[in-house]
Amino acid sequence: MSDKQDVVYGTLGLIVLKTLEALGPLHGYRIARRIEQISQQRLILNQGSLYPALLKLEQAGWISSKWAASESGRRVKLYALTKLGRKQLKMEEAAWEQATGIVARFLNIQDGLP
Amino acid sequence: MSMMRVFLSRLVGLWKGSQFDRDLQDEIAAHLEEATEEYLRNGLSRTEARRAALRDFGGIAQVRESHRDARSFTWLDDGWQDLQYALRMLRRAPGFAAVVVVTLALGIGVNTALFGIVRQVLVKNLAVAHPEELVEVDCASPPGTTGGDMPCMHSYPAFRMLSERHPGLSGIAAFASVPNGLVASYHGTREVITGQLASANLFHVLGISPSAGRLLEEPDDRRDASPVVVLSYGYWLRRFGGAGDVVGHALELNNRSVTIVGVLPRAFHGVTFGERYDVFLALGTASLFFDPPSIGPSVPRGASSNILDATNRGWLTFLGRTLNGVPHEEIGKALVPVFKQSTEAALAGIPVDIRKRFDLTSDRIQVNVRSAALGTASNMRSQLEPTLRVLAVVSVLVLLIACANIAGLYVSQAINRQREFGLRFALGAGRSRLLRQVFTESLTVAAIGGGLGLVLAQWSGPLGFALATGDAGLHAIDLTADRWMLTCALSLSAVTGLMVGAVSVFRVSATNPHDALRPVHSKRSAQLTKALLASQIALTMSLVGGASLLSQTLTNFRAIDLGFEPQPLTTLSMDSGFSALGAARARQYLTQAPDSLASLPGVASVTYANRPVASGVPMFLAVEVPGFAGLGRESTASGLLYAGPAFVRTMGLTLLAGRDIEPMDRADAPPVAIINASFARHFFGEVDVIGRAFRLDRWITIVGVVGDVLDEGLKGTIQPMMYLPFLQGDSKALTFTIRSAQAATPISETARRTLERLEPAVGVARVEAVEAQLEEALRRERLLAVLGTIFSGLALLLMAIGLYGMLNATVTRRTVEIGVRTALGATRGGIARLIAGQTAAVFVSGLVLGGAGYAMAGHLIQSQLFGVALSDLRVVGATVGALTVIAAVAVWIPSRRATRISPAEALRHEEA
Repeated sequence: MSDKQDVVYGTLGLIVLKTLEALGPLHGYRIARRIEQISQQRLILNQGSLYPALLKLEQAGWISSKWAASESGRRVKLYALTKLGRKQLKMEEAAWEQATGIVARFLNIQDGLP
Repeated sequence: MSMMRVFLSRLVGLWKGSQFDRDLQDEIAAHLEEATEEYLRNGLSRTEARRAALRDFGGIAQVRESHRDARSFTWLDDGWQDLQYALRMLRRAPGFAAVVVVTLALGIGVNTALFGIVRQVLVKNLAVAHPEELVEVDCASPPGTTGGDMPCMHSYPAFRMLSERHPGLSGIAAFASVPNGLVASYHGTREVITGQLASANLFHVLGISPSAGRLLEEPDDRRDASPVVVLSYGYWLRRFGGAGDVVGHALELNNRSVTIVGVLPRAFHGVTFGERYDVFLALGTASLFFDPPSIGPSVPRGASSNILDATNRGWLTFLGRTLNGVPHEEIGKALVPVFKQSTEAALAGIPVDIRKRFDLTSDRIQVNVRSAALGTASNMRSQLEPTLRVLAVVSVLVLLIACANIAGLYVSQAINRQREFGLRFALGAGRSRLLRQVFTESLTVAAIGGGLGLVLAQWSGPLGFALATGDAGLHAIDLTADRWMLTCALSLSAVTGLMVGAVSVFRVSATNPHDALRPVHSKRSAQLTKALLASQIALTMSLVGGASLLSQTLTNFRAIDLGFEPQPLTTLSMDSGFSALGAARARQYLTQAPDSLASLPGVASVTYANRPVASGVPMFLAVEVPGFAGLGRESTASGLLYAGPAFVRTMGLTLLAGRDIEPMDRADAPPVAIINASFARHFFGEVDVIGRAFRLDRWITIVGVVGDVLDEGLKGTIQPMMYLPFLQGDSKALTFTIRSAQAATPISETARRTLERLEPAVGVARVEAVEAQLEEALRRERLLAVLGTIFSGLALLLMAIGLYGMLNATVTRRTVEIGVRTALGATRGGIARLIAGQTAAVFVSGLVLGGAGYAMAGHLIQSQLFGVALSDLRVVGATVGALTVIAAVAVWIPSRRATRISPAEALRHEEA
């Protein structure tokens, strides 16, 4: 089995929100690179697939975008977390932890019930 | 919340799609450059760096596509494509499209127009606040009692009692129209207008406020009040040009000066559907405007001739507003004592023995309280109702025929489309996408048809209504397309679109990719076409049969012998100026006027009477005939007409015995009468009764007997009639009747001028040709016959198109087979039989089904038929004949085409 993973369906949004929370406003390429760095290249991400995801987040009002100049002086679109997005992130983090917690308990079930 | 946000931003995306596309392009370009730069920094060559960046990014086209999907409604885009495709398909087969669209427009238009009329006539409430609270109150004795509703009178004294005591009602008003209209003079112009006498509280009960000035108020309603008038909005516009300063001016009505106090609002058209009044006068001043119609010499003259005092004159309509929540029956019961009181007052004036003999009592009075949300009982409404019922049957048939026709056309077209659908399916179109395509096409057609239908309804509605009621009726309603008609047209289009789509659906669900390669002649589709065609024939037969019944009815009415010769009679009804002349001047006028009319060129003979002939139910009086009791008959009533000299001659009655009315039959001469044959047979038991006498208030000698006349008009019954000399009666109404020497002599204008020159105080209110007037009575029959015939013609045309379409498709499909048969020596007749034979079974089963449909339709319109049975051979023959001839023509054309197919042509067909 390869050590590279597809992005779990529906989690890309959460990852993007978390990234923006940690690093503040970023443009698309930076977000993609950041995700690759954090996952230590173990997450297969078609960088392009980030853009539809960003659009959906923006439509939901969780992030906002504006055109600005990058460090290299290029005209890029900067994405930033909105207040609504911060709230959403809290909720999704909690839900994710709960979900993974439950799954983890099932996976550890051979150790005997607590 | 976030759903909404997504929806809104997608909506924006719809309009700013290209802007978003450009933004994304820029964004991707920047991304790739950033990535390339990073790879360059890591030591790759420019080409390698660029390639790596592209690899990391993934498919740019896919990103764009999914980006586009995320920001827009894909289905809407697809829908747009479907629509464009549907329109392209229609353009490719313009003939087919035209037939379908026109058929639908017709079906939807007819139904929408009828819907608009039905809503206006039967459903639409009065334009007042809370119309549902309004009730019409009337009293009656229970049916079957001898006194009928004689004792319970809607008299003015009864109204006074009601206005003091009206349990269950917050208010009650009374009104009556001014009979024969009012003569209005303003600045020297004179015209006859319509007027209503209304108690001052009528507008209060209705809850209406004036658009100028004020409405009637209590002080106006006193008997000694100086008369005031409120103008209707329409009259105000028509006569005064909508001038604001008209309030306070004087208007002359029946030679009496009346003050204009206000104008009614535009939306108010009166409280009775179909009746419009120009002016409203206070009921308390009724005696100034209400000339009591002659009540005949037999009725005892009461103490007062003032209509407001008469307890035995029922002339008012009562309109009340209920207190919330009291049921109508309870109000009725609570009002009984009030009506009892007024009835007893009326009965007090009648001698006890007469009361006993005619069973006149107040004991069994009932009070009916009916909702008046639509207005009070309306003649026009009750006359229109049966007509509308027939038209509803007709228009539903038209719509069904249209649907069957279109569905049939679509199914036979399916053979051409099957290849296309198979191909599209093979190329990867989803089944659901194909289904959607089918519905888009049928709904597009239905929408176009519906739009045209609405336009058609716009002008056909008023046209049809005017045909049904005359111009007077058209004033009563507003048939401009409103949201109701729009909704109706829309839903009809949607329903027909879905129905047609549904029929076509199965061909999609049965589609396989290999159908694209070989044309499939689905047995199911052929059967469906035949079934649709058979039902179309059946519906057409029901419609054509119903129309023939209605046409036969009209023919039967026209063939009735009236008992007099209506052509070329002209009647001139005089306005109320005549009743104001005074006895001496009236006598003089009645001597001079007929003479001056008779001296006009082209006039053969002149007479006069108290009303035009054949113009409705005459007044009835009880007569006393010696020896009548011995005949064992019950009714002592006879119709009465006051007639002038030369009446029998001018009208063209058949004089069976005795003489005409002569100038010598004056008031001071011995009372005489001419009677009709029914009178003689009913009261004397024989026709030879010259010189015998009967009694009204005095003894009257019979000097003439005439043949029966349908005096109530074509639809009336023949009653015993007496014609009394005009000068021996007291009629306040006057109508001249002129017989011209030649049929088409235009006599009316010279006659009018002559009369007005002779006596300027008496105007001509109405001029009518008697024959036209009789035709007028047949308006409904004519309308139904005409519309029925038009729609039958259209239905037959559609049937022809349906048959032709089916056979034509068959011939196309079987070209090869026909070619082979011809090559093998089949005769032309054989080929024609082969093709035409296909339709025989369909046609016959259509006729059988249609027979049942015809019986049903005939049953539904039975009340509108006259002198014709459903089994009438002329009608059935004409119906089956028409269908057969049209079908034969429609079958003949494709059959002929089939016989001309040569083997060579068949070969070419195969290659195509």
